[in-house]
Amino acid sequence: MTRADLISAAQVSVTVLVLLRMIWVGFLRESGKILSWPMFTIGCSVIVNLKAGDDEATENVNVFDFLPSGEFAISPSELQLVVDYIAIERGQVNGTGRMLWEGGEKPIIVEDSHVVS
Amino acid sequence: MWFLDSIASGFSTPTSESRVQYFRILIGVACFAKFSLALLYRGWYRLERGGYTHHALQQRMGKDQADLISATYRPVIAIRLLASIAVTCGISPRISALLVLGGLFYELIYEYRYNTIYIALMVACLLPAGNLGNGFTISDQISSANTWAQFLAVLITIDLYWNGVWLKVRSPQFMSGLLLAQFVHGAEEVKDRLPYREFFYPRALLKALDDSPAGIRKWRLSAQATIILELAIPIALFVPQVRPWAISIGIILHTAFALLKPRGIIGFSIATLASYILFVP
Repeated sequence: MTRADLISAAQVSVTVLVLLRMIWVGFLRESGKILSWPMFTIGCSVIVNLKAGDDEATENVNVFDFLPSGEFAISPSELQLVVDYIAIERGQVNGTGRMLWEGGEKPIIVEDSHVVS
Repeated sequence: MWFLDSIASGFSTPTSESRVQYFRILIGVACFAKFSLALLYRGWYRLERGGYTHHALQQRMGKDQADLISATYRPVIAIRLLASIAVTCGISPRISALLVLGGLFYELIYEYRYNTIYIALMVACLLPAGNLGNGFTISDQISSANTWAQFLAVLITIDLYWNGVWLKVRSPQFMSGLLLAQFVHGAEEVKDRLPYREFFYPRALLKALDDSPAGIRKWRLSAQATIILELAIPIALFVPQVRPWAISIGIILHTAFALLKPRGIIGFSIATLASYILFVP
């Protein structure tokens, strides 16, 4: 067996492994792991109006002022993270909004810095 | 067909070395576009301690790791930007590609996006190539030096399209047109709250494709057209007679994707279109 044969065998083996992974994670498991491509397949985002502050001194806050630029579709779990952050920076967070999901739309509430849907 | 022949021959099927070399130049451009657009609008300060991204990392990975990632952020994004230029210019292309790959995987730590994974895999496909070329000099040799690298990149692009189709077809939210309508109209609704201008959706488009039930039915046509095109493009790219059509339609499709979320998608769209070169042996 020559060196070229060994390289060829290694390339074929790696290719078969890649193919098997593509089928497993992409078509059988739908896991969202590397080599599955669930872009634009399911979406869940929220549009909210928030107020933050302690007791009577509350002010409107724009959630996008806290997120990295480029983010404009926030999932409910991301909203909880950013609400936690705003609560540290500005005090207790409350608000209302809508969740856009596969069932259409439903109201969403942020109460005492917790996202309740 | 060279693609099937090459696996049957253990990747000894000769291909034009120039394909992977042109691809290297364009993938470098895609990475440069992605990396430089990530720096826009305070991207340089994104992982500052005390900022939101640092807070989110801290919640997920603990303080020490979040601090480490924040401390290394700026050097990494500077190095990967320079490395992407080096990939395009063919300056130590393999080492530069490795640096770019490291930069892309680093980004996945704080922002996990499938389009970043695709670009990273395309860059990874450069590594086993036998002749990546030097500078902008393109080889006219036909050999098996780049065949495996070319095969892998094509395989991943086919998987991207066909697995995307598989997952979209099984999503009632996508197939009904609801997902596209929600994305576009949700983004439009928050447009004025964004600190920076991130996209521009023409008013005529928003009017023609609104988010009413009738509008969503029109979005459904867009969704179905996407499915058909994503299914057909990889096959058509192998057929010389229809290849120019496939390339033109692919450019239109990926331009439309890029318009949805320009800063996030432009690099991905360039990388996907660059892979079309590799469908030709």
